[in-house]
Amino acid sequence: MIDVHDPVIDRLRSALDEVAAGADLHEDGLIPLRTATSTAPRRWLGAVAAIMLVAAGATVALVVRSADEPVGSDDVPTQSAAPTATEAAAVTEVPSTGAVDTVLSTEVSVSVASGVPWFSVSIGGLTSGDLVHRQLDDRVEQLTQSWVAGNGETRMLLRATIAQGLQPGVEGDYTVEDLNVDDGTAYFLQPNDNGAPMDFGFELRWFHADGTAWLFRSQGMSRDELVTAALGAVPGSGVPIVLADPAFSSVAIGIDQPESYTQALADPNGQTQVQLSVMRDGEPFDNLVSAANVVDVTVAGAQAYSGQLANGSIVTVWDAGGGWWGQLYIGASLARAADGIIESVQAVAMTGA
Amino acid sequence: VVGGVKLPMMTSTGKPSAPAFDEFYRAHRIDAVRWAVALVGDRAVAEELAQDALAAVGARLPSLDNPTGYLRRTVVNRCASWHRSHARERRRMHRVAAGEPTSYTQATSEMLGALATLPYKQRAAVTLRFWADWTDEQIGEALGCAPTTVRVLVHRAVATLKVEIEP
Repeated sequence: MIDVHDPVIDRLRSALDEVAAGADLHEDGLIPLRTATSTAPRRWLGAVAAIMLVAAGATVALVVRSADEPVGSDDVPTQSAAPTATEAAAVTEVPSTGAVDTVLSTEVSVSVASGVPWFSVSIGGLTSGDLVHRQLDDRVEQLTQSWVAGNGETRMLLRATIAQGLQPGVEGDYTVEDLNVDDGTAYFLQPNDNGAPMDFGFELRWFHADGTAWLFRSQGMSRDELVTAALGAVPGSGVPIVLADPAFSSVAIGIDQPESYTQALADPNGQTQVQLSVMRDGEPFDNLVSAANVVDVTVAGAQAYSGQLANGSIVTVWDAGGGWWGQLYIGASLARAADGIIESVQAVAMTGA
Repeated sequence: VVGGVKLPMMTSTGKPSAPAFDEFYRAHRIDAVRWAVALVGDRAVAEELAQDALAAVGARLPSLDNPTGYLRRTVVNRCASWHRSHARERRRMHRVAAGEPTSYTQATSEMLGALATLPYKQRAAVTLRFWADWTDEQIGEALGCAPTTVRVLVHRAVATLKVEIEP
């Protein structure tokens, strides 16, 4: 029997009291989403919060102020998210902790580095925020690899993370199927939503006997297609994984959590509505494979993939060149304007730092 | 179709009247946010997840015998999905934020860190039991397990927290 006045229980209560203390707990604080009669401002963006956890909470190694002034009316998009190269830079020192995973970035820049592609996006009513440069140290913890097969309605996306030292097993809300493999242990995972297995977003985790784990996430693939592709994979010599099916083209290989530049655009209430990023090594595919459906679009003249996430937000991904990938994240409240927002993205010539 | 992507459409089938939805929303929003705070340990994320859960429940309101129970399950499941989807991002956060000051007291930061080490069901069981004041039966219904299993989860969670948290 656990003592409800155990000190650790008291500390648990105190901690959660403190976390909740800042929450908006007024009865009239928020207006229901998706009610046809509601005209009040909407607060939302679970996925933005998740993505912003990375951008805002982490690794502000270089911070460059960009235009803060409010922009024109909603009817006349005038805002450019591109940072200006002439404004003063402010630097936030990242404290050294001695930990192995601290952020290393000491250079001051007023823009993206030379050779890094950057883009602008025009959205009336939003204010562009800081350009955040995130760069972890050079330690490679996990490799990633992304593939594309087919096109249009038959397109399949596959993303793998290659990890070491993970214990076989599954945490999370999945319907799990044990797979028969000769090497180690493998599971097919079907995400659940309110207890019911979802019909997309299938995953497969293969824990090899040598301690290497291949964690596959898929988009547009059936259970059988994923199982066939993943269990037919073998270690490569020049690449982490080689798939047996030649229909899959490896489009990006890199490290988990690579270097990135990100700029958020916020509404007058300070809520991030759009986020523009360039990331190395195909990192944006990690978001794209979470989409229910993915279609072809064009971004700044380049072929791109655009998908809608479970919360209604839209993520668009494209190969920006030079090993960099672009990502445009549009929050659910602007989803209906996504066509125009995507079309407004333009490449920006930056002088670099 | 917007941005090349089909948008979710609202249909009239099963859609509750706005007054009923608003009443349910206002009656349960505070609880939903508190439950989500317990499950994710981040108030901003909790508010968004609670908002999503309330909207999901509201869309099915007329067909539910026990909307509050359904809301409990929905919050628990949405938070589980958040943990699953953003496990990597959270690990990244923990790494890069190591040693940096946080907005919480040290005791709270330590407890949040300890909670983050727990498997999701253990975390849900211990926080919902002792902070949100759910019964074992309510927790079991939301997690899809028996009340006896809930008590085991709570016991294991408290044991782990005692190890993780310095007295």
